[in-house]
Amino acid sequence: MNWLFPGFLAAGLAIGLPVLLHILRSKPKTVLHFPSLRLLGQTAIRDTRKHRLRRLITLLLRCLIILLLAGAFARPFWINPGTAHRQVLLIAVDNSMSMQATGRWDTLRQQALHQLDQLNPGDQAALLVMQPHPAWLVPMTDDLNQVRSTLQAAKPAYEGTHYGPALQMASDALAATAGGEKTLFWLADEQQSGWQGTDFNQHLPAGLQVIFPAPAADVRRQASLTALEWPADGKRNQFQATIHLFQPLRDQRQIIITAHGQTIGRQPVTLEVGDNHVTIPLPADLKAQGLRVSLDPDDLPADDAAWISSEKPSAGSVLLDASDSTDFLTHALRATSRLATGGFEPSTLPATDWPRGAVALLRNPATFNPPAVDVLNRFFESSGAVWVFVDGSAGQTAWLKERGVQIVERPTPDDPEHLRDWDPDHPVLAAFSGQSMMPLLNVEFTHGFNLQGDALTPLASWPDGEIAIAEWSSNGRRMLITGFPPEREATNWPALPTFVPFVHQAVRWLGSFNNVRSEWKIGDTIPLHGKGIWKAIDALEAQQDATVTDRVRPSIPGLYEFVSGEKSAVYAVNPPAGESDLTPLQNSDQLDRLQSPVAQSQAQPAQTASLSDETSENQQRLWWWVLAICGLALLAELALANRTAM
Amino acid sequence: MSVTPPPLPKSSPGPPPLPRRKERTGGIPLPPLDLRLLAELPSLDLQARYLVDGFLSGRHRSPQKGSSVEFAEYRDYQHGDDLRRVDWRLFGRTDRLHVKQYEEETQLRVFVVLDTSASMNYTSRPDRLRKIEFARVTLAAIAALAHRQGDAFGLGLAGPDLGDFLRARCSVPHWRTFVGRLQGVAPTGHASLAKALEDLAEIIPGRSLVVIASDFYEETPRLEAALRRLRYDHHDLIGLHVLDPVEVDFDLDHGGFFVDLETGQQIKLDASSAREGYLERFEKYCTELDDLFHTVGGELARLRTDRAPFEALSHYLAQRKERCP
Repeated sequence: MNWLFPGFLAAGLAIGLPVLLHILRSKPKTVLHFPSLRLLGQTAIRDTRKHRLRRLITLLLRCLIILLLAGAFARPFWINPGTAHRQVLLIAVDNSMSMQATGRWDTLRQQALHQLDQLNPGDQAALLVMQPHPAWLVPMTDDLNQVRSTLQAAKPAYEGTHYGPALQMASDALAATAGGEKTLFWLADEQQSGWQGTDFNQHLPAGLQVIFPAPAADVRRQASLTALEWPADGKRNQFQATIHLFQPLRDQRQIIITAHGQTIGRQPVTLEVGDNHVTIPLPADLKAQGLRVSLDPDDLPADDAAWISSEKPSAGSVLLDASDSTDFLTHALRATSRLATGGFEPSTLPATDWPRGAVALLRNPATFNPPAVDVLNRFFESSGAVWVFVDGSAGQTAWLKERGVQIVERPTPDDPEHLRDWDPDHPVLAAFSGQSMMPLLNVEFTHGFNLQGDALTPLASWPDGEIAIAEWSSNGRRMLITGFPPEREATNWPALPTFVPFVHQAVRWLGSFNNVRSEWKIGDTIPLHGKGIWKAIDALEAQQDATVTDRVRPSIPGLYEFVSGEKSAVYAVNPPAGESDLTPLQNSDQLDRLQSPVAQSQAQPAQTASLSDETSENQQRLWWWVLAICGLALLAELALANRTAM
Repeated sequence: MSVTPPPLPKSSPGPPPLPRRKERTGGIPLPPLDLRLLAELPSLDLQARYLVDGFLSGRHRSPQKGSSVEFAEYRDYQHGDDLRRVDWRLFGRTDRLHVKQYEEETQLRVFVVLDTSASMNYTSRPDRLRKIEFARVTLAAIAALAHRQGDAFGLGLAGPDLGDFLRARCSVPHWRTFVGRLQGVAPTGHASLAKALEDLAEIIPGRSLVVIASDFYEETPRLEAALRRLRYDHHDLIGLHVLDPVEVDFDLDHGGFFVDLETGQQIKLDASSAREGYLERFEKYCTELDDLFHTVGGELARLRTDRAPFEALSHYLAQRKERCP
């Protein structure tokens, strides 16, 4: 018998109270003279013995009740010897696109199946898939056949690799599982990019053995189409393809251009290691929604095809009003230029009408006062996208109030506040998808405003539940409102690393409403206009049409069309760029640290043990039975106590 | 038999005056006997007379009415016969001396036996007569009744043996002696009623009426032997089983240390839990006693100290009627 909270057992000392009362209780002092005990003697002696026995039983019952109560609060549980000695195997499956490299998936899966075969009946296993978010394919179960069949049916997808969250989830699950020998089989190719952001010093559960399978065979031939771009002049007679060659140092490849399933061109190329820019001419009379560009297959065929939409993206601009203090927004926007997905170059607000399709970031009170507010209104009413940083100025408050948004200044807190209730599924937070939200939760705010209004969709809240960041939408117009100014006096966020990706995604999201960006990557959440049909024109795998609303997250590269009423748009969704680099983690010492988790976990053995204990206790719930016995003992005590009044 | 205590006169806290003879013999019913008044009477003599007067006026007329001297037969004169008993009229007619013989007048000898064991020194309530007091009054009343009817009455006090014995006589001085002996009775410790009865059987003349007042906490075989011994001498037996109401009903709802009045033995007892078993045993014991007296040819009257002892007097009169038809 083990106890989850053994401290409550100390309450068992309370049995001293009934024992003390039993000892110190007033003895019967009444002396009754009776003519003769002849008729009473035997009865009395027998009854007196019964009486004493009842009193003793009553005392024992009272002590038992106290002990049972203490025991129930201490949450007892049995350590099943079978559980203590059984094996637990968790297979974490890297289903990223890189696992489609030749022979990689089959080899690693075979090793995982072999590991699964080593288990005996009664052992437990689980299947965890890493991408796009860590999720259970098969939760911890005794049904090893289910795990085996599910693993055999699994196949890699086209997602990017993120090992960190999966490792954390697997670690937590194994810590919470009772078992003797715990094994984590890391069915992954240890892609270097996938380990970025992973804490190799984290404490894994005690006794956990992490198996990193034998490294995959060396990649001999690997190149990927990383970008397809139309010329800047807007003509459609040619386009530029960027091909990155990883292996070998030089290679002869052939580019194949397909439209509507028909090959319209072939072009041999000689590739050097690194990026190779190839201009590919097109027929003048080509009429196609988009093109498929592919290379002859290599070791990773999944990234040998890419799509480009024929639609012309209207390159929206980012407008930024003047700032009186440090211009963190300009710095953040310019920092995005180094991102692979493209950055933004902010420009100042024009004095006259602002260009349609632009995204306006408004933080200056003067913008909401005449005459600038008239230009703002015209821009906003013509479906302009606006990001308002609330500063509480009268003009800004009135402008927002006209749109049903009330601003209430928050009292200055004694300690910095932190936002909560972040909506991780919102496209604005796409940069944090699959990552820890802790950096956002740690941002400090010392000045802010509550946002109130029926048309607001909250993205994050203040500690008291009031809205801090919200999306506003009405009649095709959208607005992002942040209840704080981008100043150090209000928050330290502009100085934190998370500010840049947030600004980048927010501007991308706002711009997407007016600018049809047609090139996307797997893992992106594509914002859409309302509800419509999402269908694949040409994709690596056949898919059924789907009805989507406002957003979609494609999982297979291809050329897609979104049809909403009479409007339609074509989207090219290409493989994630980072997945083409099959280079494994170079610093094997980091994996070695994860390989020997027992010594590292000695720092917290009690915590890991308690997690297992809590699981066992939750499964057994013996305290219910203890309470039930306690109730019976209480009834018996009541029945006996009434007969032992003397 | 229910005894309803009459309201006490507030102006006269002392004992009420005894009813006058006219009231006793004139058939005017007196109020029921009040045991509380009986207990307040200063002497046993008064108590006995009060009890008997109440009994007679309430239930019977005096059996002394009329003469008991009846002619039986003539027989020839024999030398030594009292000449006063010669029927001279018959001598004148027959010229022979005959003696007129009358039916001899029988005098009943009543021996009352009082159990003086410590168990008789019990009362469950202070305002109630103790068993020995109740028995003493009852026996004194029987003796007074006997005395009033010209019967001889004697006394035996049953302690460890027959501790005190008073021969049966019928005289006023004897009555005073009798009352004085009863008055001075003190409960002893352990008593043996059977031994006392055996001793009594050795010294009393045959064909007496033996009235035994006791709680009969005695070993049944020994008691049976003693009673059979008395019956062997043709004594009539009346047993007065004197009991306190608590002994009968065991109406105790609290526990404590129960002390045996005879042996001093103590046991801790929960009365409520022991009640059922006690009553069962008590009923069984009473049945045994009833069977015992019935077997030996005696009678047993069960008297509660919270009721009037008329039943005892009724038994006495019934026995006297059998002996003196």
